[in-house]
Amino acid sequence: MSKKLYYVSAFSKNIILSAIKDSFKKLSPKVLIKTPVMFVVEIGSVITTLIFIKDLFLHDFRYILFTFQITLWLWFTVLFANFAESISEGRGKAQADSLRKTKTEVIARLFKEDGKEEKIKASQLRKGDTIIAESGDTIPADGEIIEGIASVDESAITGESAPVIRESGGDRSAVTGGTKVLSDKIIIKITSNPGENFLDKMISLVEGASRQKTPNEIALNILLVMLTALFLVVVVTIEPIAGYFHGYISPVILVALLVCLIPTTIGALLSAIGISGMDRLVKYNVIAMSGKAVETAGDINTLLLDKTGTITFGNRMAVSLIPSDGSSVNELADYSQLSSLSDETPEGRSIVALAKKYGFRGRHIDENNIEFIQFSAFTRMSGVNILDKNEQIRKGAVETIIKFVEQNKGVVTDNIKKIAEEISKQGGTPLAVAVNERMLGIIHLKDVVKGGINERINSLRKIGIKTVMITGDNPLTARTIAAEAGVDDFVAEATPETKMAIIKKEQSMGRLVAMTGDGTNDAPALAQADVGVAMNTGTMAAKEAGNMIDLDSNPTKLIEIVEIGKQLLITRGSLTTFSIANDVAKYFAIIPAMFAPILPWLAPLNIMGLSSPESAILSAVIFNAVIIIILIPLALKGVKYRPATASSILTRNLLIYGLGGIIAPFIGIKLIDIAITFLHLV
Amino acid sequence: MTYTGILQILIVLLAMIAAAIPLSKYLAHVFQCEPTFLDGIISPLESLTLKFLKVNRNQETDWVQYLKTGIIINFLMLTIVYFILRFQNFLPFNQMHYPGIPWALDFNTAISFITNTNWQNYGGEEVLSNFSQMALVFLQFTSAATGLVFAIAFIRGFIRHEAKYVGNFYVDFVKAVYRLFLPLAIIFAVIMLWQGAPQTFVMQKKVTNITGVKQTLSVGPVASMVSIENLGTNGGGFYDANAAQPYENPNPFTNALTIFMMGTIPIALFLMYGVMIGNKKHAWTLFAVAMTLLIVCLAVVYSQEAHGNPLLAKLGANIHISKNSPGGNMEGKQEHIGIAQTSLFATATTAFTTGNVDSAHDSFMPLSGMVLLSEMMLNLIFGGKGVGLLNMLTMVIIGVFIAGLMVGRTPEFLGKKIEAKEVKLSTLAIFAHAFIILIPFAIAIAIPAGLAGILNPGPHGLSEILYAYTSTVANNGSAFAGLNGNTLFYNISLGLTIFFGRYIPIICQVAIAGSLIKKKRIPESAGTFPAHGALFYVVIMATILLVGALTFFPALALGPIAEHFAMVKGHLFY
Repeated sequence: MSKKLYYVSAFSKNIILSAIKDSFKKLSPKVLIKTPVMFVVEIGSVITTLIFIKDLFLHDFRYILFTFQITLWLWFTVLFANFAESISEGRGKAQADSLRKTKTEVIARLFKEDGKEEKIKASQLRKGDTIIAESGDTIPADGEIIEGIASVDESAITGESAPVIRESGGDRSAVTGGTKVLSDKIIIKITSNPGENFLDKMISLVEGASRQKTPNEIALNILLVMLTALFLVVVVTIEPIAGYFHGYISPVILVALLVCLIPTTIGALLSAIGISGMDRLVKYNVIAMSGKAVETAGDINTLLLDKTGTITFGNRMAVSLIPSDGSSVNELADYSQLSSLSDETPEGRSIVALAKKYGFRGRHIDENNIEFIQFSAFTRMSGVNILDKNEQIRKGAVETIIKFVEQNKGVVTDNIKKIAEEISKQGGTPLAVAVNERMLGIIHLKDVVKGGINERINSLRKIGIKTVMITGDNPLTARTIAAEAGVDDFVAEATPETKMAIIKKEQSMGRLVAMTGDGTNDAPALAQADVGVAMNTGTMAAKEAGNMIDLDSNPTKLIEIVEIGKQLLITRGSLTTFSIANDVAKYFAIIPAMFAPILPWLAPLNIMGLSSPESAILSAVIFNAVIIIILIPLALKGVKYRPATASSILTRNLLIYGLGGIIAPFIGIKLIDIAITFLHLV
Repeated sequence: MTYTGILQILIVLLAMIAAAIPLSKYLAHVFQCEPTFLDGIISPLESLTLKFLKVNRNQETDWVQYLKTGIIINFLMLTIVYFILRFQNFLPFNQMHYPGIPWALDFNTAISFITNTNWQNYGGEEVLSNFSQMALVFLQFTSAATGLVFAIAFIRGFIRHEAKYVGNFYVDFVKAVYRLFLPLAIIFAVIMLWQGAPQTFVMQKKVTNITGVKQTLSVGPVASMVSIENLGTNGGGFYDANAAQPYENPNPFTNALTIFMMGTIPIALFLMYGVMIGNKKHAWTLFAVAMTLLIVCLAVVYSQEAHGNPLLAKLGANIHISKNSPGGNMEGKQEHIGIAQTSLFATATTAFTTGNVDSAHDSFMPLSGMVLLSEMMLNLIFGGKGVGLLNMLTMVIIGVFIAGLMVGRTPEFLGKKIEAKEVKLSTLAIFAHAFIILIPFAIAIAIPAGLAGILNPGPHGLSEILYAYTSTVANNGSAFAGLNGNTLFYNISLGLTIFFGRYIPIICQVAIAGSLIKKKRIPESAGTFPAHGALFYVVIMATILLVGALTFFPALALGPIAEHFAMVKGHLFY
């Protein structure tokens, strides 16, 4: 993959510093109320702070050290949560800043109807204006080339430094504001108003400014709020119970218990997980138009994969050489290579490369002695004439070459035709090679399936995703490729309408469908699909229809996108489980501790053997705060995801985050208790 | 614990399961409008009733209308019974001229019976006329049917897709009464009659017993009440002492039969759910979850009771099994029934939220008391009519939601996506249950009116109040005893907790059905984790223990658990 120019690491010094600053800014209740769980913690912190101040002024120093430490750690809990969110946002902001740098004020050359030019600011351009851009100019806004062809440097958007060709007409006519014309001159019709350009959208997307909560996030948030409310009820009942036993429990301890019980861990990390999910896509050079799209990607049941570019390299390549009865493989390789020396098509190059395997490399041929015969639609063959040897080497479709041989009074055995037929049957393309009257043999050209695609499709099947290959090829060729790639289904002789039909059919059965596309005629299907990934090289119409844009224009990435979507949900689910499972240990730490003076019989519940009631409560609160910091990297990186069946993924995560979530705090709280006792903190 | 004890328990449990399997298939046929063997007798009756009610049986309604109809009808019946009890002195079958029931007690009793709770702040034989008793029997049929049909509506939320209508309340309700409760109640009433339960309109009978002493016996239509009381998991008995009174529960056989009556239908409903959704494996997995919980609870109760109180042993009480003594903790138990069956009865009556008792739960060992409390706090170990299944499925939705996220898909369950709305309503149902138990409990222990009711100090007194609110909210109705509930404070507060504890979760749950029924069905794939088998079992069990039980841990720790540890240290609370 090419280097991503604007991708920034999360843990750079600048980001950490500004995240720390933001953590304090986010203490404002207006901001914090959006994370209800943490808002409750903040209210708790305020209460204990007030109690601390009251004790200080009333010179009541009995518990002041304890109160002070609890208060401190409660504030840390809120700050840690804010920090988690800030740091995940920080990366997006830094990326947005680096994008913004490319968005300098550009002077546009407005092209008037009378043929004259006028220089105006890019910000004055409106949809429908026509402009001229020449080599060296930065394209001022998104538009479509209506005249000309140019090579354009799109690295500002894609990070890819190699220039791309843009030309009027067809599917390569779109240009993006902020990219630079390297050569030639084009006339562009502007398609968007200032502020609505692709670059603007991208900045706001990576910055997270337009981030909205996704459906699953909303549902999870409800669960967390309800759990918080539930534990609030639990804690509220504690004081009357103490009163019933003629005791009294300090509000500081009640707040500590509440904060430990409510799901602070997941509450603190929830938005960081969401933001970093979008971020991971950016790392793969994919821009998602909404968080919902990322989440939907995880739910996909059916993937429509274009054969060309996704499953195969898209060009036929020489894979084997089959000599005729009267010739050897080496001879065939030699002449095949000679015939292709001037053939700059991918097929021709692949023949040269294949011949190299037979030891034919680095040949020097006197240019005066050779005459290249280019392919023409009329002759339907190409090749070379070696003048001194009087050799006419030709390659082309089998029928044509047979005619050529027969014209030279040669004889062609039926075997050649059989071989050719066999290759066709397998979905390949036979190419015959002859020299003068001799038929040398056949080159087997084949659409080559990308390395590793088979494993990818298998792993998709494992997680329950059906793959459908779409191709314009005939059914025979399609079947061969489909079998080789291992896709579940294929559609041959497909038209753009076919995609739409398949999507609708799958959706009617309740399945969610993802596809990639780039052409204008893909746009309706991209819009209909649940996840439509538009290639950045594609038309504006396609980009607008899709809900994701792949800046690398690599359709295989659809698979990664699905995985990122899944990973996002898994991370949320796992940390929720962890957070809830933690409560068991916290109960065992706090309940016997808080009732120690009132119900001394409860001592056997102190199964961790914590040294004192104060230390038990403080340890639980510290654990609760510190675990947030410890889990930030996990939230940003996401829980490890390996394609497997739902059952095995669940088993694994239940063991790590469920069982682990029960055990970890027992160990953690005990260790903190030992440290506290050692340091005489209470 | 003895082998015969364990054997007795096993026989009853196996009999319940064996009977539940055919019953579940029958019930699935009934509610899916498929032919059954009783059609010949019941269909005409049913049609006649529906015609009388002017109900078009083919006209279904959406969930709001279904729920509204159910609640309005409940309220109507509540009002009627309230006035019957209030003015029983003007009504027939009151030879003893019992006065009308005071308003607060009446309020409590009427609510208690319309909600399948059957919390009784009165002694039936001392205050109720036979007419009033029979009015309560009427509610015992209808309240059980109400819970059941709401569960049916919920199940339809899964089996119907992109639909709107959950069914016709009247049709389902009439079916539940005519095709399930009435036939069974008749059969079991006859059996109880044969075993010695009275069935007469006479209220009191003067007899001379074998020692020559003249005695007045309270009698009435007991057998008919005992059968529906248990079949409908109502639990409200004719007599103050419920099944600890020999006329309601004459012998060990009727004791076992009573347990059988309580448990068979709730178990059958779990299995019926499997038949209706076409996924029996899933239903059997939920059955396994509930059965595990039941057996663990039973094991604790039985072992605690069989072991007895070590402090009493120090004082010379014989707590060991011998020829002349059953050993263990026999306080508050009937000798002819014994520890094994009493333990099973207590575990069953709290699991199936019946509330009928054959012993004094107050006298159980602290940890046994804790188990009985926990069963009602969870309220999903098969549970009461329909409600247990609803609560289990509510918990399943939460579990599936979290587990679903963990496999990387928008959580789905039985082909339906679990989204914000379902999560909101499920958590609300669970929250309401906990809130309505804990907050009134906290108020009761903080004010003199609440504390006045308890008989024991310390953690045990705490358990007594906790038990009252848990039992009422769970619509169980069993009492820990040891709490005087017939005070203004308890009549009103318990009446309210019964009311809200019943209807708020049900409203949430039927609303979930309304949301699910609209959804498309998502085909299963390797990406969806199966809703059956060991893994699903673990997920649901963990959810129940972490979400359901953790909520109540402090209250339990400070009540029964504290009492247990105090006992170990040598403290008793009396």
